[in-house]
Amino acid sequence: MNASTFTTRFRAAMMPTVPSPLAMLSHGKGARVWDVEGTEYLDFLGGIAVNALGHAHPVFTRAVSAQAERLAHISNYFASEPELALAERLTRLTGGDAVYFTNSGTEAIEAAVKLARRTGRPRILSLTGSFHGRTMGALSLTGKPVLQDPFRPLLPGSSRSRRPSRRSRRRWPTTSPPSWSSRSRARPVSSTCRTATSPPREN
Amino acid sequence: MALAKGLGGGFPIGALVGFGAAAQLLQPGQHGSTYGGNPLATAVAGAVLAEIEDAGLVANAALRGAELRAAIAGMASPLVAELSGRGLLIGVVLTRPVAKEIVAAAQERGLIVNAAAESRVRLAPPLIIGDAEVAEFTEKFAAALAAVAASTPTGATA
Ligand SMILES: Cc1ncc(COP(=O)(O)O)c(C=O)c1O
Repeated sequence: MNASTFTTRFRAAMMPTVPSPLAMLSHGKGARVWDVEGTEYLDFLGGIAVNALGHAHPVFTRAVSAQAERLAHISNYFASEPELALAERLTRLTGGDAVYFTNSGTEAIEAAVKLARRTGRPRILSLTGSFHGRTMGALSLTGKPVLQDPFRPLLPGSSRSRRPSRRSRRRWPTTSPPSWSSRSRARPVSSTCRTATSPPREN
Repeated sequence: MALAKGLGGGFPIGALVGFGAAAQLLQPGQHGSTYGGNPLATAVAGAVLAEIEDAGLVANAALRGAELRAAIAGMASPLVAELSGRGLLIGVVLTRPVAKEIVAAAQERGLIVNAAAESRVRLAPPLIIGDAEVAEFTEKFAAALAAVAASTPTGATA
């Protein structure tokens, strides 16, 4: 399938949220991907920092197929061994105490926003130039007016700071957040979107 | 602490980790998701994290990241101002807003990199890369930088 064919199909069937695709990919192995015409690429984007093990890693493919054969989906009325094991692994790795699972990064931020509201403190700070996702709560915290402006009004109480305050850095993570705002994020390395250590420098 | 991206190695999953009192703020019925935490997604993420730990991929990311930084610095390209990021998440900060041109020149040479901003190329290779991938990246990225440097006016900086 040549470029104009997939581009035409893409434009016809997909909402135009992204520019024309750079290629139509067919399969991958390790750090390599191939497009539908057989051209090979060294993939140094990894699905935007997602494919930690590369493409088609045997650990990944075995885990998907083995669990799909056993039990793929239940509901949150029930627990499962993989769920509890992952929660325990994450608390061990992070030093945290309890986990809530989502399907994406933006939903993890949404959960953090709701959690922050439960502190009773109305303000949520985020960094200028940061990226937190595209759903309305996460978008409200994203420090990029160009992404926010078409979707105003944003979440009340969200505001931007040029850099993490000394106070929030010193206190992160802690059980007693600063009294003037609820504080759910303080990132040592700002978002992958910017690929910068904080503070970010350009939009 | 909000997590996603590489957590599932390509299987969609994110997580919010609560610390101390924050871990108890969301009470029964106050939040929820149909799919969140299902056995398939959590089994895959568990396997991916286990492999990252067992195969020493965090150390590999640090090592290969240092190699890539040294390789890019060694290219001494007039287009490269500095490098940001950590480990294998690398921002190549440019002296001119030619990130898109570099991405296209790299793709022509069989290398996928990304324009994170007009003056910033982002690298986020898988954590499993080794000598072969570092060498191939070095050759192709140097060629892409050279091609763009040759085809755009020098002197003016962004
Ligand atoms: C730092 C950061 N936060 C949040 C997100 C949003 O994650 P997702 O695209 O999975 O919703 C991203 C993704 O690009 C990100 O880099």
